[in-house]
Amino acid sequence: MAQDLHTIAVLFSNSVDRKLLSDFIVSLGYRVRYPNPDLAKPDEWAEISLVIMDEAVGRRHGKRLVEIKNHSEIFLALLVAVQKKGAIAAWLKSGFDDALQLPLAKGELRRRLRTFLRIREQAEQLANDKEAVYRSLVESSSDHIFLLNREGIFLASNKRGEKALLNADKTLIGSSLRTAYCPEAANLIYDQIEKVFESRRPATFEHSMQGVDGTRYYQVTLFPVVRDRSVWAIGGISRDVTRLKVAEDQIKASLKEKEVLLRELYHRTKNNMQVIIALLHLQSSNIKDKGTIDLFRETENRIKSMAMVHEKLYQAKNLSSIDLGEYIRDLLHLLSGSYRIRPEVVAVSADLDRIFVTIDTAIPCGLIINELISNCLKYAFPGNMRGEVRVGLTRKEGSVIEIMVKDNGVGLPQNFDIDKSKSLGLRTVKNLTKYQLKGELSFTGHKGTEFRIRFPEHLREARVWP
Amino acid sequence: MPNLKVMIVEDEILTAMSLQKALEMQGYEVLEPVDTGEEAIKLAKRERPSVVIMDVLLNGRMDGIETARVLQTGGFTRIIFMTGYQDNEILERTKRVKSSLCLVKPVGPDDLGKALDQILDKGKAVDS
Repeated sequence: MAQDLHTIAVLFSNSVDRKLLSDFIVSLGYRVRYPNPDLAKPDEWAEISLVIMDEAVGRRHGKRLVEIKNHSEIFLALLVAVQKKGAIAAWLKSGFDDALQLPLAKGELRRRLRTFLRIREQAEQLANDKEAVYRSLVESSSDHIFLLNREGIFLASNKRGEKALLNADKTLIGSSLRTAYCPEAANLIYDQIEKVFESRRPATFEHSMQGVDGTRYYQVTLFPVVRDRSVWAIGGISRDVTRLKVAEDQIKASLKEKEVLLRELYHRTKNNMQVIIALLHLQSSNIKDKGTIDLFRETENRIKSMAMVHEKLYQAKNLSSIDLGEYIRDLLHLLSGSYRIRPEVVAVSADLDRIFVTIDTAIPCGLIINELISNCLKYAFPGNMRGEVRVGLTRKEGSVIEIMVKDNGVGLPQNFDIDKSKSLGLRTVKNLTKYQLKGELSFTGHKGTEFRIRFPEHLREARVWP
Repeated sequence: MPNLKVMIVEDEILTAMSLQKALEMQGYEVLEPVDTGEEAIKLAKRERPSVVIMDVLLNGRMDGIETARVLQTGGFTRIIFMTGYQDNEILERTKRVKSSLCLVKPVGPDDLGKALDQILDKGKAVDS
């Protein structure tokens, strides 16, 4: 019986427990030894199939035993007996194979010993016939596994892989890469062989070949086989990745199609907004009343500021975020034109950081700047008063963005209260800041007007992942 | 710049109508807008406009840039392109058309007025 062959090391600190456990193990037909982990020589460990110890011994010798197990050529099972169930996980993590709770139940112990000793026996069988086992692993693989010399001649090659990947009728051993591969693939592999020989590092690459059912794709890994400190051959594994490649191409094509659709959607949204602007133009062209014409112009500018976001998104590489600074600059240009601002009378300047934001931030920012700048241009400089408008965009600490709009015009009326203001523009600014940007608005109206809006940078995440 | 004849080639009719109205208010004589290159060529032969305002993307088989080239071989030289796509390839193609300007939509009455002044003003037509 196999169990006659097994020797079990019993390492228990308490001599009574050690004796009881040893007697039980012997009664199962196994031999018992008491090696000292610090002193025992390698050949003493070689005859041991399993170690069972208690926690007290483990605290002194646990690491050493795991080391011995890791260096053992054949599987060596390590079992520990613990006082509390809670300790089991830590022992398993440290490299032990199993942990049993004290007091040891005989039936349970017998079952565990048999399980681990059976694994030991299988490992012994494997060690005795290693070559046959590895050969069977290689031969049964549907990947092509091979050895090549520097000249690209096959020294070894598994038949199943030869047939599956290269449709070879006879063995490739002794033949050149060129007999198995098309010229392009063979040249590529020759280049990679040289690289692996020179660098002594593995290389992974892909190539394609024409098969009977169309183009097939292969992923090849070449690695150096070192003997006496020099590379004497190149090992290789070639895998047919056609299905993966086709799926990848389909995903890429689908993604491209979605990008095109999204771009088109942005473009059409902008176009529709342009049509609304055109309608407003037509509608207002017969109006003579200046106040009504101004209302139309303000509405047009609001729509234009939104249309511009869609234009920017259409142009954006990632289709999801735009450069807020660049957008504000374009908006200032648009508004200066719309209000026919002469730069020698009112100078508009901007100091804008490069900050990328999503549409959720860009639209309200655009509308806010539209209102604030329109207000400046309409009211801050009455008559032909000369002045200056400054716009700032800054990223502050804590992922906060600040927009500043400042002029040196006549300022706000005394006792100005934004909550009681009848100006649609300023109420829009207040509400967009509070509800859409989740930000704060502050302003002063002495010696000109200054508005500051601060809001968190990552609005989109905040909305999608509340 | 009164009494100069302008032709609008634009497939979005409301945009075309809006531009027509704005130009009429600025004193130009504006032909009824057309939406294809083929119709533009026919109308231009008959009416001989001084300036053509041309959308790059049109209904029909010809785009605005091809239509402009045909018009120029017939002797109509001044073209103001309009494009909704701020796309380098399109902008480069329009630059290769002589005596032309390109405006990116939305094109307002002021932008168009300035462009007309620029392209008509005393031989300052833009030759690229």
